[in-house]
Order: sequence, then C-alpha cells, then structure tokens
Amino acid sequence: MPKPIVFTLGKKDFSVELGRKVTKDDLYGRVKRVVEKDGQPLDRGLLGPDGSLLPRKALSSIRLDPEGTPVEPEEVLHDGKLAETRPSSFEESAPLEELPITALAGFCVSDVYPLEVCDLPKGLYSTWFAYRKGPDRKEALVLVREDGAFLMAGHRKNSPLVGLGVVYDFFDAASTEDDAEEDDDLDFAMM
Amino acid sequence: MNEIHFEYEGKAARLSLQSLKREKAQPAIRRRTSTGEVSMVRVLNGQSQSIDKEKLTPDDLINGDPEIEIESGGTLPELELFTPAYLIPGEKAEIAHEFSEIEIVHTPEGEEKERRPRVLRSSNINDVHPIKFGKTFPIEKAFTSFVFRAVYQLVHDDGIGYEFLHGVAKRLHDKKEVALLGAGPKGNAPLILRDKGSPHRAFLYGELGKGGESDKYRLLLLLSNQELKLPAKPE
Repeated sequence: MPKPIVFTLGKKDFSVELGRKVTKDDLYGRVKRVVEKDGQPLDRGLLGPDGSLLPRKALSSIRLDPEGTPVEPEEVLHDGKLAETRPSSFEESAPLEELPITALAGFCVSDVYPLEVCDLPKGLYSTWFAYRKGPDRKEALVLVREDGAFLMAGHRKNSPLVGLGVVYDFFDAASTEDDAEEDDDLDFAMM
Repeated sequence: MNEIHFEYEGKAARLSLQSLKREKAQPAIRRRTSTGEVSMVRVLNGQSQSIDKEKLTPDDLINGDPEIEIESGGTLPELELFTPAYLIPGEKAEIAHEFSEIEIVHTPEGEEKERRPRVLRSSNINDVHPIKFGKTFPIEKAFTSFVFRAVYQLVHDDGIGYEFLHGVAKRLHDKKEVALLGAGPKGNAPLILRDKGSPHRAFLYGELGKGGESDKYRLLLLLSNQELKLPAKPE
C-alpha cells in the first residue's frame, strides 16, 4: 500500500505516494539455489570438532552487552560520536535539489521505489531517504519522467577527471565492497 | 583493481578498471548501553530441530513444550571450531557426503520455470575476446531507462592508453551518448567482472573536463541489472 511522503522544492511542498519497492525479481523472476541429494533438498549446517551436527536453523543472532540482553535503549555511535535518532521520510519532508541528468553517472542504486500521484516537474533531484527512523539516512535521487517518477536510494561514488598523469589516491585500491555482486544471477533480455 | 580488454574502432587494449571511493565515507558504527559495548553474537536458539513441527497437534503444545530445547537455548557454541556442511533433514540429521547444486528459476509470479545445474560463471572482461563498444544511446534515454547498481572507472596506464581513452571519452562527450558494451566472441554478452559473479549489462559514459581541463577525461563503466519500470500488472 502506498505511503505518503513529502518533498520540498524551493518553498513549495509536494505530497507524493511511495509505492512498494521494485526489485529485479519483480520484473524478471528469480533464481533460487538449492543443494539436493536424490531430489531431496538439504539443510545448511555445521560439523563440530566432536562430530556433532548443528543445523543452521538452530542458531540465531542476538545483540548482547556485557550483562546480557540489553534492557535499556542502545546508543548509536558514528565514528565515536553519539548519533541522534532522526525521523523517517514519512515523518519529515525532504528538500529536493535539482541536478543534471548526468548526475546519475556516479550514483550506485540499491533500492528503487515508484512514486505515485507525483506533481513534481520533470527532472532529476537529489534528496535523502530513510524508510525507518534512526541515525542513518541514505542518499537518494528522485527521477521524474513523463510517464512516471521513481525514488532511487543508494550512494554516490567519487570519480575524478584524469589527465596524462593519473593520481591513484582517488581510487579504492583496497575495495572489498562489491556493489555489483548479488546472489541471484538471472540473465535478462532487456535490450 | 581489474584489467579490462577493451576494443574500440578496431583497436584493442588492456586497460585499468578502478574501483571508486564513496563520496561520503561510511562511518564506523558502534552501539553501547551504560554497561558497555553491544555486539552481535550467534547463540543456540533452543528450538528443537529433531521434531517435525508440522506434525505437532494443539494438544502437544498445550501439554508440553516439544518444540523447545530449554537446556541448549542461549548457549554460545564455539563456532570457529565448526566446519560448514550440508545435512539431510530428519529427526536425526545426517551429514550429506554427495550432493548436487541446483538452480530453480522462478517467474515474476513465483511459478517454477526451470531447474538446471548451478552455473559457475567466469569473469569475461579480460578474456581473449575484448569487450566491444556497441550500440550507442542518447544519455537521457539510457539514464532514465536503467537502474545503475555499480560504477567503475577506466583509466590509462601510459600515454598511448591516455590518447585511446581520451578519444573514446571525447566521442561520447561530443555526441552526448553512452555506449552499450558487450562481451564474448560476438560482443553482445553481459559483462561478468569477477569469477562466480553475476552478469550485468554495461554502459560506457564519457566526459571531458571543462575549460582548461579539456585534456582530462572521465570514462565510467556503469553496470545495470534492471530496467527502470514497474512490474507488469497481474491479469
């Protein structure tokens, strides 16, 4: 069900409806990997040093402080500084700033949401997005086309202009992050 | 850093493909309470794995707690001593010594379409067949039609590479176009950056510096696995 969200462009508020996230699976289907023996799906598990077997389903991840399960609200620190809890996109209007369409070139999209009932002028805008309240807000772009509008949450990469001498400090030589890798690798015929 | 074997107007070269830093670095996130640091820990959840929960009756749950193993719940196993394994499910789990990896392809509606052995793909960007500069699209059309998941930058290693890539960037910049890149012998296959990686359609975006920086260029490899559109409505 669409949820109302408000953007501010200049001094004018635009109320739009945020639709359900659109994923690759929604458009093309998905590939599920299973491990089978004689047609029977197998469970993931762990083999202990004493030969004991532990199904993966027997484990859960929990948060613990030195005294066990926290009974008081947790404080979140960003780079050692206390991070304040901020409202979600549904509780606070987000300012829009117009960008050229080429600003999409360095932006890595993680989530795509359709925007319904959107009266914003055609173009590309930068803003922030947070589905839940908390200290973290994602960078986001709003793309308004003639046939519809989308909000794309993600992050921007820094890409330098390079001359004859390349300054390699600009690049991430130790990158372990791989935006392009996902578990699902369904090929699609989108051309 | 990767190397990419790239062909443009009949000339091929092996060039540097660089990962890029985030514009805003991600902060180091810690959580704490008044008693100290909060950390994520994996514990035994105390759910019985030896019973078939679907066979439990309401009376079983009212008269006892067969789904709970109270003694083990909350204990911290030394997971670094364990080895991953596949288990044959049942009342008493057994280790599976032989197995096959299968991919099940589902339609967007969730119906099973195909079963096939798992495909392990190899990187194809530095193959004997160079990545080819293919069809070009107006920037606005490409940028408003596809979702770009990742970006890498093509960079030269020497003066010849600089002239080659500056020429590619100039053409795209002047024509306000992006080019679709393709792998494989025909130059029409999606790109796979890493072994066991996923295939992505790749677009090349080129830009020149302004004013006194026109000798500088920016060539970005934009990876997409999704069109920017809504799913088809169910009939």
